[in-house]
Amino acid sequence: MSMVMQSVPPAEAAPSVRQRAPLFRLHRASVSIWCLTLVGIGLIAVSIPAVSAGVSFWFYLFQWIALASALNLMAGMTGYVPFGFAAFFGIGAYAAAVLNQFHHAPTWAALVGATAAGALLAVLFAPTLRLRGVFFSVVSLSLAIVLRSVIVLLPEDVAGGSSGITITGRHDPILLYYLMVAVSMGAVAIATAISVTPHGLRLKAIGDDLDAAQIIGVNAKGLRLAMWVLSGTIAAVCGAIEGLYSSAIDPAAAFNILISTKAIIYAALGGLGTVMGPVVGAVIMTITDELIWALSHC
Amino acid sequence: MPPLMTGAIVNAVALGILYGLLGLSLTIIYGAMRIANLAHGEMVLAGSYVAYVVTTQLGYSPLAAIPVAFTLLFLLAFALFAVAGRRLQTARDPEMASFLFFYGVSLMVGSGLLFLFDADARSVIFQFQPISYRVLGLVIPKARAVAVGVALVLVPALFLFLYRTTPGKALRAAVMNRDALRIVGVDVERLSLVAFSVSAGIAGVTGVLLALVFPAFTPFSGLDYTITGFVVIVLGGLGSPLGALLGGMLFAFSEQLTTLWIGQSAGVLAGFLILVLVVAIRPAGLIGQAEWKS
Amino acid sequence: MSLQISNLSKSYGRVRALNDVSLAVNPGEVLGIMGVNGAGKSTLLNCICGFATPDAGAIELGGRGICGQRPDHVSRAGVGRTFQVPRSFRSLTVLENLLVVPARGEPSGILFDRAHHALEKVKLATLANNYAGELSGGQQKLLELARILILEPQVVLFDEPLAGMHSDLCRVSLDEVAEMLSRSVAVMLVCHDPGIPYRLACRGPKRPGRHRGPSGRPALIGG
Repeated sequence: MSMVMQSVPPAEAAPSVRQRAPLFRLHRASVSIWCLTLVGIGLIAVSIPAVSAGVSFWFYLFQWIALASALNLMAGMTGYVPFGFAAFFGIGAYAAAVLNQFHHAPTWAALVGATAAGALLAVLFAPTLRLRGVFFSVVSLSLAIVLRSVIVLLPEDVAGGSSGITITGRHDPILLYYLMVAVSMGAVAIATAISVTPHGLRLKAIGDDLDAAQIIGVNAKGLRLAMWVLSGTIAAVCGAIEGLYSSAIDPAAAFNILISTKAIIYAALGGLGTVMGPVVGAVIMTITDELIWALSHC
Repeated sequence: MPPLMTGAIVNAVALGILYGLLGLSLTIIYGAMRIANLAHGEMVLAGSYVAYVVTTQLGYSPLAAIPVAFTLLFLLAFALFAVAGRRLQTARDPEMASFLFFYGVSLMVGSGLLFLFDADARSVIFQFQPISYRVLGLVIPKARAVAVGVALVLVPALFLFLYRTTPGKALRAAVMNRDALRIVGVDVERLSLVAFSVSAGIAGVTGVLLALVFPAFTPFSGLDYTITGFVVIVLGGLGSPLGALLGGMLFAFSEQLTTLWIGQSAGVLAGFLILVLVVAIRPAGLIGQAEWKS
Repeated sequence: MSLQISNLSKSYGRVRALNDVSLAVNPGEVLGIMGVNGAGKSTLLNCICGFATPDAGAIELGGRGICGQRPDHVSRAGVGRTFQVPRSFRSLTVLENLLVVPARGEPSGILFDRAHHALEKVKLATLANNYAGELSGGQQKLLELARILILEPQVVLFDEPLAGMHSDLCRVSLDEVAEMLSRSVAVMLVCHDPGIPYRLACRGPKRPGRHRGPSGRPALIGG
């Protein structure tokens, strides 16, 4: 047994003060570098419309950064992989479209409505958090399919039926692009904030050993629910902005399971449970996607 | 009983046993190896395409497609597992790693099928003699009867394997504790390799049978099969062979009866609603865990 | 605060793990729970901590019922626990394993100092920045002990605290438990070796500890 036994100085001599300083300094330094990087990305993002002919590529790049980061809040930080993540994207898109097209709500009201719808859906689906592993994943996927079927079954003047909704009002694509940049930066900022506070440690602890985390008083249920609501709400906002941007919403596209799987793959490629991972993964994969698309069409 | 009702019940039994078979092969992999085979639907679909080639293109009986599909999928899975199996099982998070790996496999198999057979829907065209049977006033197509017949042979054979043979018992033991199994001298790696390959082969056979029952399939049908498979095994209880069969039946019955009473689109809804309800009441599935204990 | 258990019963299927168990631990006391494997010792701890819900009976902490509450609520009410097989957070460092403890309104700096202090007490200070997954089994038990020190619970349940530990490490643990007793913490100790509660009882500086059989059916939890 390679046990290190050392004579320890009396407690009053607290070497903790000596140890704490470098640890925190390093921590602070890396956090500030990361925040500066974020500001840099934000500045580049803001200047894109001035230098680029179209914002479409950039719009979807930031959408995937936001979605992968949002998914990571749940899958990476709590270990619950929601296959039905697309349900949030879909409910957001539908809420915005219904409010804007059928009830003539202005853009901001449509977005607020979509945010509320996302949060509400997350609370509604919260009982599924009792399940673990594949059970949770499959039930969450089933709920997404159920939700899509319900929307198709609703009368056409309520939710557009199986053919979906076409938004006839004009929405400035540049404004929507800026909104998407803001959402993605917000998602990354939330992930950063969580990972530098003890909440990040607690989430990791829950992932390592749920029982042991609870026994030291960690409110695992509450933390998980908070991440679930955050994750779902961000996805709903993404769906709403994308819906207004593309101005055509249909059940198959809005609830496409590819939204779930792509977000999972992107986040996992960069590194689940890290702040930077989903960003890196989304950037690499969106660019790869674009390149393959360009190559196969030239 | 009204004839429509009888027809729906017969349909449900036929579909149920095929869904059960779909779940059975998936549960063997998931239960025994903790690997979420997200490419399962594509493996099934590959079986359907084998049936398509053998019958529609070459003109042989679908029964001839069964050994071909089994062998092909067995070999494919064998190669896959030989390449990646060990890495997946020793990964820090095996469930996540295999999820990503098999998602990639599913995309590759799906695109491969798209490349080979185009996006158009294909179906198995083969004239059985006679085309249909008439039983108690019901017309039962022979293709469907053959599919159910094969499944009825395959399912008991699988159960005999799992419950009566040593490797089958070892496989079920692997669900409970892999390390303990190693200690008593079982080569868990080889067991996993064989189990994975055999269940892939069965997935291929299931594909042939599904092609006889469902009118058509496209290279994009794989995901639907995967979802159905997972729903069935979660419904029945992960890792429980009997549960997979029960789950398949329950799923098929809720789907068929709701379609009869309410309509096609509600049929899909019903299956998934049943899943949500069952899991809400019994989080471990219908007979999850309980079966292993007693 | 004292822990009072009355008429606790719990069955798993047809197996009665606990049958009408009543016992009490008072501040400064150590209560040894002994019994053959399968006697229901761990079930008893699980019921107290909220991992299992008893079929019948009451659990009171300082006169307040905690039966059927969530584990994190029980923990905040003042009950600490260690596990027979130590359970640390493998992907966190040893220090972080202590920092995850929810702060009770104190600034994070103070928790930080207390965490270091606790690590020194259990002789893990040199490993503070190693991952907990790298620790040996015995060291993980010490880490669990440090976690208890951070939590400062009123009632502590130890599940086989010394099993499989080197005698030097045992002494560290026993010293800490003895000190807890001197601070009027109520200690419940599951063990197979009746010597341990006696040793603790002898060390207890103010009040002599007690070792007694619980007033349940002796066939189920043998004293």
